Amino acid sequence: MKQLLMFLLTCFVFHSAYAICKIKVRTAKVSVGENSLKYIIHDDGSWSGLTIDLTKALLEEAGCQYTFHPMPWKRALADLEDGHIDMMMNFSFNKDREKFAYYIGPMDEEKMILIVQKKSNYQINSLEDFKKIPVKFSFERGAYLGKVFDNKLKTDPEFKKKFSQFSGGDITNYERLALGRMGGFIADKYEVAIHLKKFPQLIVHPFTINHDWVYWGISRKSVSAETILKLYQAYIRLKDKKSLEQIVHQYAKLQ
Amino acid sequence: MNVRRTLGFQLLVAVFSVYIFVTMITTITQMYIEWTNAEDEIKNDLISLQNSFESGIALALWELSEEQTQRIARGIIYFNIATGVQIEGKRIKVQLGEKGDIQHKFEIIYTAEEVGQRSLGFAIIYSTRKLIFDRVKYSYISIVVNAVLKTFLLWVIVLLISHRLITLPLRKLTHESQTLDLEKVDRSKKVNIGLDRRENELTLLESSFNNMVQKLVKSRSELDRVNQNLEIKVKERTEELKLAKEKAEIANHAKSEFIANMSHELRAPMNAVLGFAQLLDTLVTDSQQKRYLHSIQTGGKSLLTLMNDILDLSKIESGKIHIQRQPTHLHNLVEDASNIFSLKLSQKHLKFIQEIDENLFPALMLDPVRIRQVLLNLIGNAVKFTEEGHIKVTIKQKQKEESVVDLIIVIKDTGIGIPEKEQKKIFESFYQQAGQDFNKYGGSGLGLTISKRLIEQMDGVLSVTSEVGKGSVFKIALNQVAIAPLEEADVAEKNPLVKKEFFKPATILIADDVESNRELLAEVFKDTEINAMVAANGQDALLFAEEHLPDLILMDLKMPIVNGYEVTRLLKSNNNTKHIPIIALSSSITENEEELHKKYGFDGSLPKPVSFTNLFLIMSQFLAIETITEKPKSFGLEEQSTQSVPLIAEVVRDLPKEWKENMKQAINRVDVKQINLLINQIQEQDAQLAETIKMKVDNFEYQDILAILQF
Repeated sequence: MKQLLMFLLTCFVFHSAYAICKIKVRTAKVSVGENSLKYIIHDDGSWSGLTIDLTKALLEEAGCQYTFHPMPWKRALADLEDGHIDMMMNFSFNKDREKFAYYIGPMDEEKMILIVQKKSNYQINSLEDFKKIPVKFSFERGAYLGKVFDNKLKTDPEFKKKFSQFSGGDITNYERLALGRMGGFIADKYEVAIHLKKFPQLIVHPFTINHDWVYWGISRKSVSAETILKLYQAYIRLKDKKSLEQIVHQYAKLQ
Repeated sequence: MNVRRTLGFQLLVAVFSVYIFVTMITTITQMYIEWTNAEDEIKNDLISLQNSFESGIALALWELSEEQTQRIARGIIYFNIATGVQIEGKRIKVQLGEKGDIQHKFEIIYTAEEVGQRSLGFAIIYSTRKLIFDRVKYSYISIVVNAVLKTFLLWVIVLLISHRLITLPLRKLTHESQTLDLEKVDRSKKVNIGLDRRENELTLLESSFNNMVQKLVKSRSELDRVNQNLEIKVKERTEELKLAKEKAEIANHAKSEFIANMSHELRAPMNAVLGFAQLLDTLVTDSQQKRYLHSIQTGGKSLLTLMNDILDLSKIESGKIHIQRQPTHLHNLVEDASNIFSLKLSQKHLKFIQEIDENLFPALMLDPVRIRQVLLNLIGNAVKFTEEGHIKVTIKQKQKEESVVDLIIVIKDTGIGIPEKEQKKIFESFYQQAGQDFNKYGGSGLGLTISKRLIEQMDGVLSVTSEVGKGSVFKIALNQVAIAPLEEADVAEKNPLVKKEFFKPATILIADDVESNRELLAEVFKDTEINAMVAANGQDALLFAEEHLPDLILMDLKMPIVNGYEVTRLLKSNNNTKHIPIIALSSSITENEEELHKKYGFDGSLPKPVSFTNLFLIMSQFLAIETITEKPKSFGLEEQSTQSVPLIAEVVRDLPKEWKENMKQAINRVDVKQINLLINQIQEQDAQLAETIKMKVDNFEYQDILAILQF
C-alpha cells in the first residue's frame, strides 16, 4: 500500500514538471515572398522574422510547443480574450487589454509613423492637425497607438472621422496611397523602409504617432498560471543570456 | 310545347355544376401551390443571399470589422427580398431594416486553414409575405382568368355539342311527334333527327319512333277499314231499324185501326143485343127465360164495360190521352154525377152528401172530361158497394199562392169496405177484390186503374183508406191547380145549362156518308141562324166547300170515294179554302187530335156520337155567337141530390107527348140513331136531361129511360 502511494505521488510530480505546454501564437497575415522583417513565411510553411524569432526563442526557452496562426489584429485580440489563441506578439500595453492578457516582456520597441505621399505637404505637428487635412488616413484595425491617440479617438468624433481601419499586414495600403486613394496610413517604422523602396513617391512624415515598448500578450483564459510562470522564467533566462538582443542585432543588420 | 329547360341545358347545368366545383378546387389548389412555391422561392432567394453574403459576413466578423459588417448588411437589404437583416456575433451586432413575418436564420462559420472552422455567430435575413402576394398576384389573376376562360369555352363547346347531339335531335323528334297527324301521314313518312352517321341512343329512339309511326299508320288504316265496315253495318242496322220502325208504326196504326173498328163494330151489335135483351125483359114472363135473359144482359153489359175500359186503358198506355186543362166547374161535375146516379141512389135509399168548400173558386184549370170520368167511376163504385148509409163527396182547397190551389176531393161511402191487404191491389189492372161477387157487382176491374192513371197524368195522387164493413175513402190530391181567370171562368159559365147562346148567321158544311148522321146534325141547326149544307161523300164536300166557302166544316173521317182526311188535306192546301175551320167527326175514339191537326190540318175534333154540348163549345171557337142569360130549367143545382128524381119527373112531364112516344118506340126498337136524334131535339130545351138520357143510352140502361118517360 505504501508503495502504491509513493508511485502515485511520483506520477503527480513528474506530470507537473513535464506537463505539455502548447501555445497558439497569433501572427500577421503575410504572403510568401512578402517584404517584411518581422513576419516571414517560407514555402514550407515555416515562420521566421524578428518578431517570430524572438517568440520562438522565448517559447523554446520555456519548453513549449507552439504553432503560428495568421489572423487580423482585432480578431486576435478577441480570440486572445476568448482563449482561442494563447499569445500575441508586439502587444502594446493598456488597461483594457490587461483585463484578459498577461504581459511578458518587453520584447521590442515599436515606433508608429505616418506614411504620406511625397508631394503632400501636410502640416501635422499634433494629433489635432489631422482634422485640418481634407483627406482620410487609416491604421490597422484593433491597433493600439498610444494612450493619447486612443483617448483622442474615443473623445473626438471629428478626429475619429479622419481615420479608417484596415486589416493587419495589408501591403495594398502602399499601392492605394501611391494612387492617392487615401491621405496616408500609420505603420510600424521598422517595416516601412523596405516597402518605401518600391514606392519612391511615398515618404515618412516627420510626425511620430506613438513610440513605445511592446510585449508578448498571453491569454488569461487559455494559458495556465504554470505556463505563464514558465514563460516568465524563460524570458528572464533569455534576458540574462542576452539572447533576445542578439536576435534584434541580427535583424538590424538586415534593415 | 316550349321547353324552358332543355335536356341539353339540364345536362350542361349538371356537368358544369360538377365542373365548376372541380375547377374551384383545382384553382384553389393551384393558387395554394403557387403561394407555397413563391414562399419556397423567397426562402431559396434568402438562401441565395446567405450563400452570397455568408463568407463576407464571416470575414467581417472574423476581422471584427463592424464597418464591413454594416456594409454587408446594407448590401443584403439592398435586395428587395430582404426587408431586414440581423447579424449577431459575440462582439458585433448589426441590425438593419425591419423584421418580417418570414425569416431565414443561418450560422456564421469562418473557415481558414490556420484556424479551421469557427462559428462566429448567426445572421437572420427577414422577408415578408407581402412579397409572396406581390409575386403570386399576377399568377393568381392568370389562374382565375384561365379557369374562367376555360370554363366559359368549355361551356360554349359543350353547349354547342349538346345542342347539336341532344337538344336538336330531341327537339326535332318532339316536334315530329307533336305535329304527327296519323290521318295524313303515309307509310313512307320517316323522321330524320340529323344523326345519320352516328349510332347512339337517339338514333335508336329515332328508329323506334319511325317503327312506331309505321305501326300506328298500319293500325290507323286497319281502324279505318274496321270503321268503314262498322259504318256500313250501322247503316244496314239503321235501315233495318227504320224498316222495323215503319213496320211497327204500320202495325201500331193497324192496331189503332183495329181498335177503332172494333169499338165501332162491337158497339153496334152490342147495342142491339143489350137493347133488345132489355126490351125483351118486359115481354118474357117465363121465369127460366127471364134468368137466361138477365144472364145475357149482365154478360153483355160486362162485355161492353170491359171493352170501353180496355180501350181507355189502351189509350192511356199508348200516351194518346192528353190532359186538356180548361176552366172547370167542380160544382157542376159533382152535381152531374149526383143526377146520373140519382136513380140508383133512390133505389138503394142512399144519401148523397156534398160538402164543398164554400171558398172554392168557381172554376179551376182542370180537364173536365177526365175529372168527370174519374168522379163517375169513384162515385159509381161507392154506389155499387154501398147498401145502406150514404155517399159523401167532399171538396177542399188550400190556396198556397195567388194563382194556384191544392185540391182535395174525397169520396167516402159506408159500403162493404176493402181489406187492408187488398187496398194496394185494387189499382192493378183487372183486379177485383177477393171474394167479390161478380154477378152482384160486375165490373171489368179496370175502373180504378184508369182513374189512378188519369189522376197521375194530372200530376195528382189517388189513394184509398178503408175498413171492412165500415166503408171506403178515396182521396184525390191535386196540387198546384191553376185558378181560372175570371173572364175564363165566365166562359166556363157558358154551359148551356145556365145560359142560352145563339150563333150569329153562318154557313156550315156537314160531310158524312151516313144519312142519319147528316140529318141529325142538320136537325140541330134547324132553328138557328146557321145554314147547314150537307155532303154525302168527300168529293161533294170538296165541290161544295170550294163553291160556297162555308164558315165551318164538320167532316166525317170515313167516307167513300175520298175520305175525310184527304178532303181536309186538299182544302187546307187550297188558298181559297185553307182558312175554313174543319172539325173532324170521328167514330173512332183512338184518333189523336194533335195528330189530326199536325198531319192533316184539322182545327178540332169531336168523337161520335157527337155531344151537342161539345159541338157547341168547339163551334163557338170559330163562329160568332150571341149570349142571352136566363134562368134555365135545371135539375135543381141548389137542391140535395136525393130530390133529383121528382125534379126529373117534373122536367119529363113538360116534354112533348110526341117526343116521349117517339123515344119509347125508338128504345123498343133499339134504334140508337133515332134515340140520339130525339135526345138532340131536347138538348136545347134541357141539356141536363139530354145528357142524363144519353149516358143511360151509352150504358144501355133502357129500362131506366123508359121509367123516366113514365112521368
